[in-house]
Amino acid sequence: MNIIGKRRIWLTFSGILMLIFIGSIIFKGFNLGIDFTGGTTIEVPLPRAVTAPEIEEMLNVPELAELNLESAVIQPFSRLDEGGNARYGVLIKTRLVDGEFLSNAVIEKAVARLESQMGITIDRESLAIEKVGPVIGADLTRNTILAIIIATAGILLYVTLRFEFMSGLAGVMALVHDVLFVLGVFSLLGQEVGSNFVAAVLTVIGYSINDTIIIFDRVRENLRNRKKGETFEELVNTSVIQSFRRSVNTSVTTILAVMALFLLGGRSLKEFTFAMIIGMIAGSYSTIFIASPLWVVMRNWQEKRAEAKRRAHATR
Amino acid sequence: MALFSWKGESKRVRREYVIRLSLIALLVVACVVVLRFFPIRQGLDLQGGANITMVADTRAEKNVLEDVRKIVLERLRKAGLEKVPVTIHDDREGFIVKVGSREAVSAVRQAIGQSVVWESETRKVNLNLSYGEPKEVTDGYEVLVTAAQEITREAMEKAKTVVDLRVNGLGLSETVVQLDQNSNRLIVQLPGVKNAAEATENLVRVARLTFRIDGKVVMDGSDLVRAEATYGGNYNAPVLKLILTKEGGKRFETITGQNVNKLMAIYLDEEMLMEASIREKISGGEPYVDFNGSRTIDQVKVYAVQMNSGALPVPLRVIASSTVGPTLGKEAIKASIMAGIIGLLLVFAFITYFYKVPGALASLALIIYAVLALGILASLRAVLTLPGIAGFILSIGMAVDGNIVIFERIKDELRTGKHMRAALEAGFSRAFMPILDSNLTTILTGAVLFFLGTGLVRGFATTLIIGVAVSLFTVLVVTRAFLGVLVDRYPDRFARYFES
Repeated sequence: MNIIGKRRIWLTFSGILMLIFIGSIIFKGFNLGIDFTGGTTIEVPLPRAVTAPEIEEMLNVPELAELNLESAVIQPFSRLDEGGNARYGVLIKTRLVDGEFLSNAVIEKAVARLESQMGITIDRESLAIEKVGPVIGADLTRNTILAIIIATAGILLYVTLRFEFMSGLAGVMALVHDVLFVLGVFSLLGQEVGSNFVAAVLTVIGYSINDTIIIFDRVRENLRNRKKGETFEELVNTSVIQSFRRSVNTSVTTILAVMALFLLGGRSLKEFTFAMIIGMIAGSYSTIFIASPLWVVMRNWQEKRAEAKRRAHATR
Repeated sequence: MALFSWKGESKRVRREYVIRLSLIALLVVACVVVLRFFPIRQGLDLQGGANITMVADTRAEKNVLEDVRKIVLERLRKAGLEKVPVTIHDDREGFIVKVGSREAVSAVRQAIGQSVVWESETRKVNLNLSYGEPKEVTDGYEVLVTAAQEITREAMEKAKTVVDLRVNGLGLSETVVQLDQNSNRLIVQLPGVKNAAEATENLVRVARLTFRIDGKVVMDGSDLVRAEATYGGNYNAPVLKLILTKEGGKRFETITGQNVNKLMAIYLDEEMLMEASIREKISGGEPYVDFNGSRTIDQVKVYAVQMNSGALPVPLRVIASSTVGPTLGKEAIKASIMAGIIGLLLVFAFITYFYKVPGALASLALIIYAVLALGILASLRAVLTLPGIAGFILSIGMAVDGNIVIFERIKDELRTGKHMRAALEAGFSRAFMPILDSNLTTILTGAVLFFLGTGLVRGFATTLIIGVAVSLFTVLVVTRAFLGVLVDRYPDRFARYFES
């Protein structure tokens, strides 16, 4: 098996994918969820305790499409009033749609629907309607991106110290590839992006670099016992094949576990586990087909330059 | 050969492994006890919590109102209305002005105006005045003039940051703090809190600023007029200037005189903001903290904001609090827990199928791993949320990977013709470096995310760091002890497991 020899294929393939993903991120953007946009929160007092699925079922009708129920959060609540009596109700949080808060007409329709479904009357005066800002504001987003960039620089530094600069660069490029992969797929599919997505992306970063380092370690070890005449390309290829079983076994096990969560877990886990599965597939692929070939390409380039320098020096 | 006889060499090995295994068992028991008595708190998304709405308290202090009353009286006098009585509202809402007739109200209104500015040496307060409906009383009409402090959007943003810091200082309790766009309200959701009243007390409390030497409080916030970010010191770099009261300045002089070369720490409640060494006796009441250029002006500004006005830029009061259900829904959580268990069983099945008995041992090690990691999280009083679980899943994945890397290495070593015991030793020592490297990189990433991130990013980082550290321990100590004891006892059988 000659994986590294066919590196042009993998690198071109991924390069084209990256262009598509970056294009989609720039031109199509993301379908931002309530955590990023903020929106309207309606507090509806109710005469009895309710569950979230119960309310969701009542409101899930075509006439109330403006509620955007699939990206809304429904939270039942209870409190004690001054007299010590329990009061129940539900918080319905909907996200901004095209920068617009919910109109009073839609709120009225939703409340009327709850009334008719539960056979009750709701005092309109007792509704509390709030227009809330995002949980993840611009500050937090900037902060998180900055943290990720610094963490990446840290990874680059660590791998450079433990291996060499070119390997660090290759590892980080594979990592960027994986993150762009997840972002790109979500952008292309118009999948909703919420705070849990951020957590999933962070997980992908961890997974990607972990996966890469195990292979790079093989290379490092084989370099120490390098046979005469063996090129770096051959050596990396051997290392990749030597750790192939481990790579496959690890990827299959972890993806299996997350797949179970994706298929069987609740609705709210879907976004999160879907991002993880995409990222893990990208991470497993990029370790073998991106990180290792890139290391070879960059090291070859580095050696060629050193060679050219030597020669220039010699002829002088 | 008798079942429990050991050869000379093995006796020492056995004793070592027995000690290790009992230590592991002890740890597991400790964690189970912790989990039994201090169960892991679940976050808002998993369990619900308290929902608290706060508004900026726009009422001015009594002494401010007293001064403003004089200004109001002065304005009335200038308009020829000196006979009009003005009293301060009992609840500090503003003033009550008494007039003889309905018609006089507009004249009073014109005389007093829409706003008053109150200024002292240290503070400036803009009060907006609004007029209520005249109320008929026995000898005329009473008008309530509400005096509300102007609350800027900026001040509310700062209040949000302070509240966020206050509830989420450690990054373990994943709270939601949101600012209402039009009514200057802060909405806070606290996970797992049953007693909302108790929680809110902590939120709206004006934090206590203390100066400590050797852990002893030597001065407090009442000695400080305000803190300012400015440039100065040896390098003309950003410094934090403290402007002290007259008394505070004298006290500071005495304290610094007695504690030259000692460290003085500044605390906001129990959180240390900074520590500075006292170079000399400082008089004049305007000391500054020199960071020697290690902080940017913006960072120093944050310190100043935190220290000024007891950290909260505007006083807040709670207007509503209630208990809310989980955002994810109970049914969804049940399904997800089931799915998680199935996922874990799949992992066990897979590695047991591929690696036979060693795989089953690794599965056992993974269960121990889960108990240890959860136990540590519980003893740190962490709140588990979905992002936290993400960190956890990643660390489980890394623990599985660690086991697989070791098993593959042992196989390699066996293939070179080594004896099982030697192959085990060599396999572990060869796998040590890559496992250490990959885990350390992940911990490094986690640490950066913890220190720079906020909210959910911190929650993720915490569980990730703990998870990875425990996974390192599980792979290198627990799996090793299991395999060590059994390989020592049944080398040939294990050689077959690994070669298959």
